[in-house]
Amino acid sequence: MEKAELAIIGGGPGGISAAVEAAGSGVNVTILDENARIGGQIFRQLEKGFTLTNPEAMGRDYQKSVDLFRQFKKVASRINYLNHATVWGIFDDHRIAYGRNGKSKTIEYKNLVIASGAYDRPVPFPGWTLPGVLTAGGAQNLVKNQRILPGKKILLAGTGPLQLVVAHQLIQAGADIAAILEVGDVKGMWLKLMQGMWGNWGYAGDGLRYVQTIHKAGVPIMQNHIITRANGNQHVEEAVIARVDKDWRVIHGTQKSLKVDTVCLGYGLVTSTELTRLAQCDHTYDSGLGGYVPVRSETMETSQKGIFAVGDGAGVAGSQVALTEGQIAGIAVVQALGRASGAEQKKTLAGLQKKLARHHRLRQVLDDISRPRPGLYELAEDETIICRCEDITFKQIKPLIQKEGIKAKDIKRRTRVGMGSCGGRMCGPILIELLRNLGMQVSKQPDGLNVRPPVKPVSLGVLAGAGDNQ
Amino acid sequence: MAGNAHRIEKGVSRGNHFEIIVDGRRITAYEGETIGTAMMAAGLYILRTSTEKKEPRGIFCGIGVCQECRVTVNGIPNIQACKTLATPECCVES
Amino acid sequence: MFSQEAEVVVIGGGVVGSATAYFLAKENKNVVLIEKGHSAGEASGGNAAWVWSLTRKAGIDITLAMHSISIHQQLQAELELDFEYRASGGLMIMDAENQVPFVKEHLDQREKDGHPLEMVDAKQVLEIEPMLNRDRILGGVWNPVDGTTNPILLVASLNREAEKLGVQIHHHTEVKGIDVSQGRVKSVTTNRGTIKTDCVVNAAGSWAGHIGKMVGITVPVSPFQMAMLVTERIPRCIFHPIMGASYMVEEDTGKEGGLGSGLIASQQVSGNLLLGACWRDAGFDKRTIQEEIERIAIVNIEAMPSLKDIRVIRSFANFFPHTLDDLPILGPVEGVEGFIMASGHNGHGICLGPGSGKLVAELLCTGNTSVPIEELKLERSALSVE
Repeated sequence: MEKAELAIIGGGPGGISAAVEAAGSGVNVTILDENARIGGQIFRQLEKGFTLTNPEAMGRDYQKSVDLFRQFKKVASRINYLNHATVWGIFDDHRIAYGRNGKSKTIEYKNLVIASGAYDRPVPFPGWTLPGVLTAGGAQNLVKNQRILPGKKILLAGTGPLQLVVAHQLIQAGADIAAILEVGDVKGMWLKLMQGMWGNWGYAGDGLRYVQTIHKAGVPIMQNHIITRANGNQHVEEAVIARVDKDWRVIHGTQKSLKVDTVCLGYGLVTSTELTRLAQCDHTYDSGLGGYVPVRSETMETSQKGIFAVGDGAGVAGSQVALTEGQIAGIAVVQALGRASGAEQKKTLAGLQKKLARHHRLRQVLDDISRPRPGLYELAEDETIICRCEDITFKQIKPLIQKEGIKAKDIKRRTRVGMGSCGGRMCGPILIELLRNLGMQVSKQPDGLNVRPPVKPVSLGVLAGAGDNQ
Repeated sequence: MAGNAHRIEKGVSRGNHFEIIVDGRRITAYEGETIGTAMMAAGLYILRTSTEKKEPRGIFCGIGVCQECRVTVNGIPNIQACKTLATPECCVES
Repeated sequence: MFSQEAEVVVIGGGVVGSATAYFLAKENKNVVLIEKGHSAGEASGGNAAWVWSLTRKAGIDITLAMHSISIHQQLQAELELDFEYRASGGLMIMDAENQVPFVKEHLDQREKDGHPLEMVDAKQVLEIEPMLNRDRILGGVWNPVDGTTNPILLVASLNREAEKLGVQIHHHTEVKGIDVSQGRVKSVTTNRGTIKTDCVVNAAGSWAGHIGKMVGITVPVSPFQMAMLVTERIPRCIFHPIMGASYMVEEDTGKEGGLGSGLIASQQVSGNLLLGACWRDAGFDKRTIQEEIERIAIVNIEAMPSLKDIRVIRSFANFFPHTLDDLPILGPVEGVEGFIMASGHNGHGICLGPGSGKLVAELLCTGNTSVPIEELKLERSALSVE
C-alpha cells in the first residue's frame, strides 16, 4: 500500500495550491486527479493535439493558471501526481481507494485535502433533457478546451456573472447569442457582482469588457427572465421564456418564444460533497448557496481530524477563494506535521484568512442575487424528468414529496430516484429543493441520498484488480 | 431539427485527424477530441436513448458528472462520450 | 392523526411486518403498523432480492420456504402494484471438488424430505447461464420454483393494499415502551403517542431484541452484515439467480469474526446487476468496507469474466437478523400474553416474509396455523446460548 503525508483529491486550483504550499515546506504530497493534467475545470489544459496559437485569447484565467503551474513545477519533485485516478472510496484507517490504469489501489494518508469542485445546478423544466440543452460549464468546456461551438443560435439562461463570461467566450468563438436571461434582480450591480465573483478589481475590469462585447454584439441581457420550456423534435428548436417576480415565479401572460438551437443553463454551482460525506464529515445546509457544505474550521479542517476541504467543493466561491483556501490548508498540514517555524507561518495564515474574509464579504452580494428562489423549482410539469438516469418524472414523485414527514431517502427507495449512474448528483439537489419548497426542514446532514462507495462508476475489472495492494 | 455545432478555427491549431465509426457511419475526429465532440461536429447529438421513456439524450453537464453521454465503445457499454478521447477507428454505438 | 387504539400493533415495516399487517387486515382486524424509519428501510430493502429455496434444508426450513413461495404467488395475483416477481428458476453452481459432497448430501436430505432438487451437469449449467466461465464449472443444481422479486415494491404493494383495508401505517415512529401488566400486553408507547392494544407483533428484524427487552424477555437475534454491489443497467445477460456452491461449504466463515464471501448474481428487471456477496459481523453498521467491495468483484469476475468492463455504481450492506439455528422465531411467547414473535429470518426474509406474515395472521385470527410453528418458538433449545 502506498503512503502519503498529504493526499490531495482533485487537481483544480484548491488542490494544486494546497500541494504547492505543503510541498514547498518539504511535505511529500500525492495528488489524485481524475483528469489527464492538473488544472481542474477552471484551469483545464488543452488536450494533446491542440496547439494554442494565441494565448491572449484564452483570457485571464489562463494567465493565472500559467502562474500556478509554474509554482507547481518548482516543487514537483516532492509531488506524486497521479492523473486519471478515480477515487472511489474513503474508508476508515485513513485509506483512500482509487482506480487507475485498470487497477484498484489504496493509499494511506496522514492528512487529506478534498478539493472535489462543483458543477452547474440542475434545474428541471419541460424539455431540459432534450439534446441541445446543456450546462454553462459544459458549454464553456466545449468552447475553451474542445474548441467546438455546440450551436449557432444560443440562449443563455441562469443567474450571475459567470453567464457573461460564457457569453463572451461564445461570441468570441463566433456564436450568435439570442439573449442572456438573468433570473435575478441585478440592475446596476454587474460590476459589484464581477468583483464578488473574482474578489478583485482587475477581474472586474475584465467583466466590464465582457459586458462591452455582449452589447457590441447586440445581445440583450434580460433581467428577471427565466426559461420555462425547451421544445423540439429530438433537438432544441425553440425556447419559451417568461418574466419572473422577486421569488422567481413566472408572471403569467409574459411568455415569449425564441427560435434557438442551443440552450446553456447557468444557475450557479452546487458543491460535490460525495467525498466529504463518505468521509463522514459533518455538513450543514447553506441557504445562501442553496446546498450542503462541509463544516470547517478556520484552517479548512472538517469535523474529521486531518481531513481538510477546500475550494468550490466546500462552498462555491470561485478560483481565487479556492487558491487561498488551498494555501491555508497546506499551511495547516505543514503545521500538523511539525514542519513549520511557528511564528512566520502563523503570520501568513492570519493574512490569508483576512483575505478570505474579504472575499466572502464580496461574495455575499453574489449569493444574495443568485441564491435559488422557490420559483426555480416550480417549472417542472407532470412529465418533466427529475431523475435523468432512471427516467423518473415529477408525476411519480409528486404524491410522495407531499406526504407529511417524508424524507428524501424514502422517495429514493420508493421510486428509484437517485439510484442511477450519476449517484444522485443531478436529482439529489433537485429533490432537496423540492422538499424545501414544500416547507420541509432540511436536516443538518445531507442524509437525503446516501453515498456508498464506489462514489463514481468503476468497472468490476478495476475493483477486482486490487492484487498489488498487499 | 439538428443543431449547428461546428469546430472553432480561431486561436488553436489541430493535430492529426482520423476516422471513427459511429453507428456504422465514418466521421472525422481530431487528436485530442472526445467522442462527444467528434460526434457533435458531425451533427450527431443523440448519444443515448433514455431507459424508460426512450427519449433522446445528449451532452448535458459536459464535465463528466451527469452520465447522460454514455455510449458503447468497442463493445463496452456506458462509456462517457464527453470525457473519452476518440481514437482512430474506434467503434461507437449510440 | 395518530392512532389511539388497535386490535393488533405490528412493530416493523419490513416484509414480515407488512405482510402480517396485510393478512390481518384482510381478516378485518384493526391494525396499526409502526416503523421507526421507512418501509423496507433495512434488511427488507437492501438484499439480493431473491425468492430462493434451493439451499433451504430438509424439515421445517424448506417447509416454510415452500409455503411462503405459494404466498408470493398468491400476492402476485391479488396485489394491485406489480412487484416484479419472476419465478425464473434458480441455479447453484459448483466450481470446486470439495463442494460436491456437501451438495450431494443436501440433495439426498431434500429428496428424503419430499422436496427433491435436480442435479445438472456443466453443459446444462452453461445452457442455463451462457455467460458463466466454462473453464470453472463442474456442475450445478437447478430449482425451477426459485426466482427474483423487487422487495421494495413488494413491501410498498403490501402497504398500499393494507392501507386500503384500513391499516394505519406510521413511518418515522419509534416504539419507546410496551406496557405489560399481569402478564398481558396493554399498550405500546411511541415517540408520537400511546396506542392501547392487547396484541403486539414483534417484526422488528435485527432490532427484535430491543423490542423484546421492553417486555422483559431476551430475544436471541443479532445483526449480521451482508454486502453487495449494484452495476449500471445493461442488456439482459443473467437470466436466473445464481449462487456459488461455496456457500454450502463455507457457510460459517465470517461468523467467526472474519470476512466471508461467495457468489451471488442476478439481474433486476431494470437491467442492473445485483452482485454479491460478503458477510461479516459488523453490529448495526450498514457501511461497506473496501475489502468487501473488492472481494465481491473478484468472486464475480472469476465466475463471469466478461463482466470485467461493466461499471459498479454503488455498494450496499445491510444487517440481517441472525439466529443460532438459522431459523426464524415465530409465535407466542411464554409469560407475556399478547406478545407475538415474527423475527429472525436470517437473510431469507424476502422468501419467507410473506409466509410468516400469513402464519402470524392465521394464529391471531384462528389460534391455529396452516404450517405448524411450534418448533419456531422463542423457547426452543437451539436458541439458548448455554
